[in-house]
Amino acid sequence: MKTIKYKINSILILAVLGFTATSCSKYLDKSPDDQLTLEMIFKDKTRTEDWLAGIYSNVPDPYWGNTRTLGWDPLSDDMAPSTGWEQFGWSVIGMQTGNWNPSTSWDPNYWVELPKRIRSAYIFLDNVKPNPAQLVTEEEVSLMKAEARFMIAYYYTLLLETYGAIPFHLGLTDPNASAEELMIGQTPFDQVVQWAEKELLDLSVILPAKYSAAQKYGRATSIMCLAVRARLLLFAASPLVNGNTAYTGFVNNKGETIFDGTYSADKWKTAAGASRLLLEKAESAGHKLYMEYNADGTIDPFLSYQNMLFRRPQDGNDEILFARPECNIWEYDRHAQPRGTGGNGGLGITQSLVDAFFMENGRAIDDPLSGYQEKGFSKAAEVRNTRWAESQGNGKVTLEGTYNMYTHREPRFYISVLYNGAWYRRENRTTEFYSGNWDGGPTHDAPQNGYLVRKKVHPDHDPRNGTNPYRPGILYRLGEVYLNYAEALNESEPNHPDILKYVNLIRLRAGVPQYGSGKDALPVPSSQEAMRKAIWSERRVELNNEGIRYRDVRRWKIGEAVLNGNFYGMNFSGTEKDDNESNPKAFFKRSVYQKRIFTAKNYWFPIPQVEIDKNPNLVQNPGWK
Amino acid sequence: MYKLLMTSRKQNKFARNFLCLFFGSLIWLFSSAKPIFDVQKNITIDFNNLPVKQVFKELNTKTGLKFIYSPNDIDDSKRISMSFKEQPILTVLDKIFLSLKVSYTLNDNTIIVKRGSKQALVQEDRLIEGRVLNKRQVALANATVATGLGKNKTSTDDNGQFKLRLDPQDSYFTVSLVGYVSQRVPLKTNGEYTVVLADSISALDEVVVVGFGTQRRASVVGAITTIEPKRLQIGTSRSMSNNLAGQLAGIIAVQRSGEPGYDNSNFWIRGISTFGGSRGPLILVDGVERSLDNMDPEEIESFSILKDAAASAVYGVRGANGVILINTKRGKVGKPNVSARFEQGITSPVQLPKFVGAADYLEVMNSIREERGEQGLYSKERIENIRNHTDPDLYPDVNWLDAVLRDHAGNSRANVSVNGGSDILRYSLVTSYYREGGLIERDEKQAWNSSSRLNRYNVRSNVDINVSPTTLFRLNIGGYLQDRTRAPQSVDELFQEAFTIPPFVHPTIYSSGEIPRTPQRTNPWALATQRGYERISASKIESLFAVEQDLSFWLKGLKARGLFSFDRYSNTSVVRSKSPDYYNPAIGRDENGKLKLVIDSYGQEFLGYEKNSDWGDKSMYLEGAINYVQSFGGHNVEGMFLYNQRNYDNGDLLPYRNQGIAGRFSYNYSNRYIAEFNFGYNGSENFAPGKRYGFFPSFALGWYISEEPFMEHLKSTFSKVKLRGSYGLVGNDKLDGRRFAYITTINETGGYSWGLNNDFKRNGRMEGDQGNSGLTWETVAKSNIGIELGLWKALEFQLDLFNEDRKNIFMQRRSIPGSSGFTNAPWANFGRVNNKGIDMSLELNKQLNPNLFLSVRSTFTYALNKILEQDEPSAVIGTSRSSTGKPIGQLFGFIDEGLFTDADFSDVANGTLRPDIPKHTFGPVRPGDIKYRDLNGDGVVDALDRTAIGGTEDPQIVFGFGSNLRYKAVDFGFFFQGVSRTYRIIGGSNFIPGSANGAMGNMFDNVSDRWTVDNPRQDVFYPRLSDYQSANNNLASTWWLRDMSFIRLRNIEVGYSLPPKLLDHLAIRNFRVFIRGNNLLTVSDFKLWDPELGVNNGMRYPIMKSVSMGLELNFK
Repeated sequence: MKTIKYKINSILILAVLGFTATSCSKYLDKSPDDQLTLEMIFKDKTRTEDWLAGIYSNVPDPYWGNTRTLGWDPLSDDMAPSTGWEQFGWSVIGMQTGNWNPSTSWDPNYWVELPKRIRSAYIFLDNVKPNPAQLVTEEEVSLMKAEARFMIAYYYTLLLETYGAIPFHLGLTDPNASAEELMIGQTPFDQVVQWAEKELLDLSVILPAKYSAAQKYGRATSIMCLAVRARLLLFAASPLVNGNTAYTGFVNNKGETIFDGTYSADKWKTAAGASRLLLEKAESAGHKLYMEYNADGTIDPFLSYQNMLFRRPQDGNDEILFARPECNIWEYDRHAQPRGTGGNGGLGITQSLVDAFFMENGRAIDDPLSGYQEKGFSKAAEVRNTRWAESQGNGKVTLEGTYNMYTHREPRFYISVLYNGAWYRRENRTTEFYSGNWDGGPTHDAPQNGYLVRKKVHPDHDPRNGTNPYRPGILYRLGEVYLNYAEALNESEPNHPDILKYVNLIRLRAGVPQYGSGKDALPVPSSQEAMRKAIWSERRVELNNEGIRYRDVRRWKIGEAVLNGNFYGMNFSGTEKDDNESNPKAFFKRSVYQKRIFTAKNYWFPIPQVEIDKNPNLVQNPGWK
Repeated sequence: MYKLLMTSRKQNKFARNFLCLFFGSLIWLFSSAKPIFDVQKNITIDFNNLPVKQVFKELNTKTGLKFIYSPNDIDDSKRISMSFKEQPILTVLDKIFLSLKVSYTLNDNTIIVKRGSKQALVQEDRLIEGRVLNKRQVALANATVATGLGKNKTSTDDNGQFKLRLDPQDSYFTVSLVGYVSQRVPLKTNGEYTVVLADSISALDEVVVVGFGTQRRASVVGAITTIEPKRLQIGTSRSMSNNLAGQLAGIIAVQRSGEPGYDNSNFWIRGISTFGGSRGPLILVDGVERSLDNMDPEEIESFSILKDAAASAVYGVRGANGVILINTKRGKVGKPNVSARFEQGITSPVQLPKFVGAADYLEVMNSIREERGEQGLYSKERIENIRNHTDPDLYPDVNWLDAVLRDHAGNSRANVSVNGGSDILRYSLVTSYYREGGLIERDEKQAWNSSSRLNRYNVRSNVDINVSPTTLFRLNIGGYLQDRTRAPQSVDELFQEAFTIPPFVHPTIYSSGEIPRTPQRTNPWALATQRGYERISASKIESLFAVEQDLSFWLKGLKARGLFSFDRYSNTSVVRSKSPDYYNPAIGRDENGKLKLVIDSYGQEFLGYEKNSDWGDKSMYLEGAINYVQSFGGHNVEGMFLYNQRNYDNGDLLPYRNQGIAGRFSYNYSNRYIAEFNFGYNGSENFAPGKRYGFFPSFALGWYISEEPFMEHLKSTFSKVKLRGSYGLVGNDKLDGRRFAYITTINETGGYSWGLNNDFKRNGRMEGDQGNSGLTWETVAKSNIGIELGLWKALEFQLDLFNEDRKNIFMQRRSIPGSSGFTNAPWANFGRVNNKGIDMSLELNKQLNPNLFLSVRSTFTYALNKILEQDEPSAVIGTSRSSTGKPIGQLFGFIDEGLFTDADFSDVANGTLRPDIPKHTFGPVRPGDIKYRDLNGDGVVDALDRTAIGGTEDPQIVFGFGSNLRYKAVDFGFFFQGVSRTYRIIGGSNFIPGSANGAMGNMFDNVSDRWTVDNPRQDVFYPRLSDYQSANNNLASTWWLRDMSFIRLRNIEVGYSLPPKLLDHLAIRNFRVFIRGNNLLTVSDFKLWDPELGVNNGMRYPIMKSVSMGLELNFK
């Protein structure tokens, strides 16, 4: 009896063991069932648009991007972020001062990141399909495909402008591709330009100039295609890559010359033509310079220039050709507002930019007729015909006791520069940049060179209360087209009347006397040379801190002249309102705050060292090895 | 002539039925069995002038007892009148036989009445005392001492002492202990007893915990290290992992932080042999994968680590990193043994970095500017005012570390455990409490307490029930509840901020009550004390049911076992936080003397409420196994076959699953020649169908030389000589970074918005990882050669040499160029790593004289790994930058050639180097900056000149040594632990003084040890200081490389056991008080902060030292 019972027990145990063993043959047979696949993505309108958004997501952010991540404005001689921010990963400050080599990290890392978007766009082109059930029509699909193609071309132009020599590869690479297929070398610069230029022109025929649906604002348009194309062709015509013999002997792995050293006047003609085409198409689509007017009907240059940056298209701003609807405006505004008002107060601008602004009479400060007076403090407040309210209103532009350097300057100066002693409306006081005072040092969150940027900073941004008025980020506006056109035309057809016309249109809106016409007209620049100088000066001022100056400096090959050497500002350690050079505590004296380094290699970004390491067919850009 | 009086078999069914009813829903096993007579059972019975014969009859009816006696001894017609109410049977029997003046023995359920022994009868109740030793004169604790009738039982204390109360009829007592031959000791008329137990079959039958079971020690050929659980109690730290370093040969362990709740050590068995993510060993508690960090050492009965393939191959794809086996305490037969332990400690940091004060700080800042001919930013009077403590509101001097830290904290630990049982039911109950206070300061003015503190409550209850003589049922329930409170941010952040905020910018709080901070910076004191608190609660329940069935009736030596376990962990946290009003630092005082302040940000008055995180995991484990152990003459055979599966669900997309079978076959000829074969065949759902299962075999051979007949005469010298070797494969299925790597994924990426109002938002999506259907597990081939040596019966030496060759290491391809556009580089089984080394231990136990006992022990572990193959960019292969051929985690940097001198420059003012000096490309250099070697000789110092410097941060050598000495009632012990071949490149943001222009960063008190224009020494700590971040000087280089080796006095302890005479009437068997110090002494070449901390700038919650007092007591 007993034995039988034991046996039954044992059999039970064995049975259970056996049961578990057999029933579990499918135990591991599990795969995640909710993993998205490409097929699922393109069956569904929202996921398809998600994919498209992913492609768009590297469109540069002209606010925080140009400032912090991409760093175009600090890299130029416009912007001066607090040098102490290098500690917070602002590698751009090291790059300013020559702490820059192929291993230096640069957050946007275009070399690697843009090809990801390009690949993503090709996957989109291969997979997107109509979906009638969700109202994704054939027509919509062809538009989206054109958008994806636009993004591919646009990203290639960004790569070109950054690195010059890039591996150029259309289509998708297979993950199991052979080493030869993966390790491609660089393509000559002009070849990529030609492809991109043509592609953008082709797309401008497919895409509309504007979308009627409000929610499609920001999607690629024919104007965006032509704008990117015009900018690219202007770049390709410029001295850096047109007739620059410095790159003779710089060849790719196939022995092809990457930058053609022979000058071609046709390139300027093409560039002028591209800008003219853009101008025509943009104007016929209703784009025009943004202007606001005083009660007496005159242009209010202060509000026009300021609000051109803040007003949305539906508020009457037709100047914007290419916008990034969502930008990190919060960080930009906060870093630019004085630390005593709740901001970080260290996003400065250079003395070089301060000096670039014209006087009220339209002349540069080094013009003996300009009436520029640097020393001393004003005896009375300045009042002009404007409704600009940031300096106590009633037309008041500067207050009594303002350092003379800042008086009688053109309107764009006051919209762009926040100087020590300027009125600060939100706080109801003047700025106090003196060391040890509200907005001053010695911390890193203070204007290291005595200025903060005011351009694009919304006066109603209030970091203490978290208010931050919305505005789109402007990547391209009609004002730039005017100056691009004038510049290219001056090089290709020096006496063309359009040159003066479009430069003067810019000056008219800016409230600065024009060349050869209008009130207090200035003499017309007498030669192609003089006109070039005038156009360059106008660009510097009009387009300051819009991410354009660094590109200009590079394509004009003036980096060594303007980005190398001591950079000046006001005396950071000054505690007294004094301009006496011999007083160490005087704030108002030109003082070196940074020594910057720009050498021939800096015209192009270095190819990241890790990529050079991986791909033996790459050649490092000139000067970086 | 003996007369068998009664034969009727009335089973004592009650207990058994009760148990079956109780567990009936849990088990399907039911078994009839021989009844086990329960002598403790109470009975109620009356004898009213009955003859003895009738008395026996009634007792038989009532209890099932059988009586055997000879009429010569007993007059069974004698009449008895007695009455018992709820008395133990034994008491009843004693009374009856005492009145009959005869003695008896109890055998199973049979009473054999003996002729009245005069001697036995005259013995009254009395207490005997004695001591139990082994042949090496080592005191044996926990030996069971029982009276002949098993009525009274006790066990020996840590000194081997026992006291036993005898009954009058006892003529002998027995002493037994696992691993020793039980002994029967006849009673003497007087004197103490010294019982020397012989090792049972020369300890060869002692049981060792191995993978999925136990083995006779003689049969063990794998590399297994065990440790007495008591040694895991040497530290007062919460986490048991902090007590492993140096204690176990084969474990590399480092503790990288001291923060309560986050102070677990990192540990690896035999170092690291993969650059993949999963490096930690598999930890099994009672056979189930669990964490050891929150166990109380008191819960542990055995702790072993399985190091080689022979020991771990049965774990297959999970055993590649070695296995730790922990078994919790189980009940032992005997009356309840209650012990308690309490320990209270005071803790303080081992070492904190020291900062200079505000005045010195500003002078350094000024000197930086003055050296380049500019005027200092900080005026003389300001520095004087700080020195003189004039108006600390305006001229503060704050040491932020002091401001956020207290000097001392405390911890306490208490345990109560009860252990006992009968042949049928045994139990072990352990309850523990642990409390730890943190160092972080609190503001007593606030109603809440934000200081960090931790309370943990552990319980574990293990019950074994013999539901039949061949069926054992086990039930383990354990778990803990851990509550922590802290300020609502990471303590590491607090330390970083205390390092970041300079001493001169503002006080902790103004005398007028406003809290200052520099905009966008923090006030570390406010961060620690004014932000509210976070309550984090974690709980864990661990359960296990097991049934073991002896199948000897079927096949002798066969056993089957089934096990099921479920665990559940949950963690919740509640944040009660607020932010105070912050003011910009005051810029002066107005005419009324009021501070000129402006608000920086508006705070809130009340504490907010936020349920921060709520997560948990659960796991279920099922195992079934068959074991076979049998001897045929000298042939000892052991076999094991097992199936298991595990389901682990932590809320991921799918639960993690493993499934497998494992087997072991071991053959041993007369305990001399041992051969073993192990295998694991198991799978993981991480891989593509068809690629999920792998087979992992291992072989081992052993030769027990000392058991050879020809060694017999040397046995007094060579008490043990054993050689063993093994080779096998083990796997690892935990691939870092990627689960289901055979599937191509879609990633989320940065989104984009469209629309005139920026209101058409789309989340971005793009291609993610490329799927790789050929992916498989890492496989490591492990070989091991070991020798175990016992000398003079006092010294134990064990040495193992190992070699591990791991291949198919899962890695992300590094040679795919960025221009290809892949979001993530594809993954592949690409890497190969070799890991070899040595681990050894030495142990000495010697009773020097009857009062003096000495033990010494030491361990040494050295593990050196090398990456043999990996995917590397083509230009890196073969250069100094290549990490192939180097250990995992090898530090890289530049080789410094001292500091630049004026002679290196052709133009010092413009920083132009002489043409023959390699161009430094990281930024402008000046005299006093670090000069690097141009390794590739291309005339330029750039990233291509990086090379391997020093070694790895994780140590390659860990060792420990200690000793215990016992003299009469006093004991003393110490333990040193150290690591070597461990390096760190110190530095980081703001590390070089002044580099943030005084805006950030504190200066260590060695700031004066620096290069200056006036004193351009080369043997300085700091190169030239600058008021910006010098990219050149901040690079990782040999200049900043430091050897982080150290030796630490982990433990020093003095104890005193109170004399038994004092304790006897308190029913206390043993009472020991002790004073203990942990980490009291650390010796290292590195002086700035504790070298064990896992940071490069010293800013982390420090490892703590402690002084504690405690007591241990055992009740009778």
